Amino acid sequence: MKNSSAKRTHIIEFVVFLLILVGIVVYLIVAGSGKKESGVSAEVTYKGQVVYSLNLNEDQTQKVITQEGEVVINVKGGKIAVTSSPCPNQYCVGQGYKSKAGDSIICAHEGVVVLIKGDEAVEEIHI
Amino acid sequence: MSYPTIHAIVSGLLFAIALFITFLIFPKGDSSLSTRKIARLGVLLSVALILGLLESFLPPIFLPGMRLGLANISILLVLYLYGIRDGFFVAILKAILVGLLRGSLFSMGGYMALAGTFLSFLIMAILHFAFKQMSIIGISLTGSLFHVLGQIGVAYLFLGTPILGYLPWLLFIAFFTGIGIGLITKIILMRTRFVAYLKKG
Repeated sequence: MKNSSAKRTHIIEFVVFLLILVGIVVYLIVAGSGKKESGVSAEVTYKGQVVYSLNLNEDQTQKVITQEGEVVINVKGGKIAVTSSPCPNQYCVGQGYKSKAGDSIICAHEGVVVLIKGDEAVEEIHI
Repeated sequence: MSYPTIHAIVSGLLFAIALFITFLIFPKGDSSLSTRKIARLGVLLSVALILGLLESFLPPIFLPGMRLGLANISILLVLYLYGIRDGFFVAILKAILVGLLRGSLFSMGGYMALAGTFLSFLIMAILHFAFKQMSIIGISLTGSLFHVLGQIGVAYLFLGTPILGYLPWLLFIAFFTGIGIGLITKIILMRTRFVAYLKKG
C-alpha cells in the first residue's frame, strides 16, 4: 500500500517537472526565434545610474571608472562591446560585440550594464 | 531607488531574517545538540564549504553565476539525516562563510548567494516535510530552481531588467545540475553503513 502511493507521488513529481522543463524549453525557443532589429543606441549604467548614452553609428571608446577599476566600452560599426574589465571572470569581455536591440552586456562584478536600444518608436521588449 | 539604498536594504533584510530564524529554531536553554552531533555537523559544514569554494574556482560553464551546486549535497544530507533546524544552520553558515572566504559577502554576489540559499533551503525543507514520499532528486531539483530564482531576484534589484534575459537559461541549466546533485545525494544515502555512522549518537 505504502509502495503504491510512493509510486504515485513519483509519477506526479515526474510529470510536474517534465511540464516545467517543457515550459522552459518552449519559452527559450519562442524567445530565441523572435526577430530582432538592430540597435540604434546603447545605454551604459553604473550602479543603477545612466553614465553614457552612446550612438551606435559613431565609432568611439568610452571608459566607466568603477570602484574596482576601468571598464572600457568600444563602439565599432554599429556594434558595442566591453573590451576590458577588471573583473576576475571576464564574462562581459567574453560576450564580444553585440548589436541587436534588447541585447545587454552585464558586468555584474562592477555593476555596469550596457543595454542596447532600438528605435524608440518600437516599444517591444526582446529577451 | 539608488544603489547604496538597495545595498543597505538587501543586506539588512537578509541578516535580519537570518537572525530571526536562528533565534526561532534555537530556543533558549536548548540542549539537544550533543558533542558528537556538533562534531558531525561541523564536518558536514566543512565539506559544504570546501565544495562551495572549490566550485567558485572552476570556470563558468557558459553563463555568469552558473554553478553546479555541489555544496548542496552536504546540505541535503544534513536535511535528510538531522532535520530542518540543523539543515538551515548548515545552509546559512555555508553561504556566509563561503562569502567571507571569497571576500564577496557584502557585495552583490554575496547577497545573491545568501538569497538563493534561503529560498532553496526553505523550499526543500517545506517539500521534504510536506510530501514525505517525494524523491530526493525532485527535492534537489526544486531547490536548484529556487536557488536561481533567489539569485536573479537580488540581481534584479541591483541591475534591473536586463538580467531577466538570463533567467530561462539559468533555469534550464539548473534543471540538470539539480537532477545530478540529487542523484549523487541519493547514491550517498544508499551507503547504509555511512548513513548509520552519521546518525549514531
